[in-house]
Amino acid sequence: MKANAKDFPPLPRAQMHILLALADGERHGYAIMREVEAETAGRIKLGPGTLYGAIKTLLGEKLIVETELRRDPKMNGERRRYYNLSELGRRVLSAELRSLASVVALGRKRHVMGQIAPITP
Amino acid sequence: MIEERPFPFSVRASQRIYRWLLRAFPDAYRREFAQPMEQLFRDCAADTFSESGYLGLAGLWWRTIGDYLCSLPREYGRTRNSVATTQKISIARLSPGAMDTFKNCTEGAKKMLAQAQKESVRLGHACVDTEHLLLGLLFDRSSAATRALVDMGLNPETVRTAVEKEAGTVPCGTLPWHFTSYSLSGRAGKTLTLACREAKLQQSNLSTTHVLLGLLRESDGVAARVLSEFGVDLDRGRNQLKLARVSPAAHLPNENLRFTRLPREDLFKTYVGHYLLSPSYVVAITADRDQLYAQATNRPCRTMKRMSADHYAFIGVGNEVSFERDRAGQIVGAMFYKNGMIQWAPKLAPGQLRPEPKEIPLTQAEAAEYVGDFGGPPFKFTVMQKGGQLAVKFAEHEVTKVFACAQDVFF
Repeated sequence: MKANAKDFPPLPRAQMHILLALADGERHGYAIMREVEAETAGRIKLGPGTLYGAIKTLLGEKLIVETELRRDPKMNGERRRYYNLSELGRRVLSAELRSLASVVALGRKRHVMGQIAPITP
Repeated sequence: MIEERPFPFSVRASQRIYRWLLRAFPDAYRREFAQPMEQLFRDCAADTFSESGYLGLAGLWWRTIGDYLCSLPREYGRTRNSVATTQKISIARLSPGAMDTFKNCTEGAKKMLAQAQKESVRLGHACVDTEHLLLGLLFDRSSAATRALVDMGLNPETVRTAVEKEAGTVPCGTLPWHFTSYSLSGRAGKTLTLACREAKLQQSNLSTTHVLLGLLRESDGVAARVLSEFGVDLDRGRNQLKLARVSPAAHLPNENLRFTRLPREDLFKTYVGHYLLSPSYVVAITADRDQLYAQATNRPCRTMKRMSADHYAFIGVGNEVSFERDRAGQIVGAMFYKNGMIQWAPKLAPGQLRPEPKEIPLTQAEAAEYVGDFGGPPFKFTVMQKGGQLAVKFAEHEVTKVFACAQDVFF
């Protein structure tokens, strides 16, 4: 298995947002979706197919792990699957964000950032 | 927030329709994710409905249908391309025999293939080729194949750099972010088929060592070129891998190499025989003192040129053949390479071949009755008389003499 964050190709957007949503603790599918939608101010709405497709890929690459099946106290009584970031996932995410940050820094240096409206959650 | 109260009718109806739609997903995916997907959709529907009523629900359906239509083909693509969950390479290019072996590959080989696929993505290449297979091999330092290469004096890092230089990279960002290549190039397909043959000969599961032998046998891909620059060839690789194996019981086959060191005349005799490509297409290998000949059913005779141990090319056509031996050194069959296709042909035991038909002499007048054009496109041939002998010419082939063996039957 790839043990190194360097060995991963750039993360697709949906996957990156899922990792970001899981960064501060475990969540179930619906909570991930709400989180991503809220954090991106509604720009990214993950449908069930996209979300679980990406979750399947991430599970396969061991970037996230399924933690447990339990009830969400804030929602109805059904049991839900919870996911959390793995150690590898955290490293891959931070490597990815660092590389994006360097792109942003380059953009600033070239003074093209002004044309892009600031994105605030 | 949703409490324990039942959902409104529109939400329950939407859920049922979505549940029904989910039946189109591949079985394995559905078993794992259909329930949470349905749950998620239902929660979305309930929230949207309570916030913005029927209009909101219609909007949700609009988005969901788009999402559904995008993810359905993706999941099918994933299913088709995966042999096991850990590796995702399309095996469509392998011969059917090899596919069975391929499905029983070791964990090491699976990781290697998954890594090869990542390498091709990383370098921005459109498909998995031999160089990616080699990079995939080198990635795992503890594998038997990498250890063998290190023992032969190679530094994995140097080889990696050389491969990347040779293969070239497509600069990052020229491919769309969702781009992943799962398909094998023709050469990589040939390599893996050869690797499968190696595994089959040893009656073991496909492992990294077999892939290394496959790469060396394939002989003209980037991987083989780089390896030969570093002085690794098939003979050396085989000898080394024999040492790299830990247990002597699970030995590597081709000490068989010693069988190819016979005097040429005796060596050629071992190849002589008939190889069955299909019931109606048999390749006959014959030899005189220092030359090997091959003749396929209804095809002209070709002389053969030695490429490497047990590997020959047909002079005049771009086809190649590689003979396979069992542990006792007996030829069991041959792999024929033709237009990028690989086909395995078992060697027939002497009695298995249909006996040569016996010729019945024809009179000139009888023969003349058969002369003329026969068939229609795409299968067309002309029968002519040549010096009292009937001959047949197929569209693009040379004239072949035919002999009568029964009433209206020729060979």
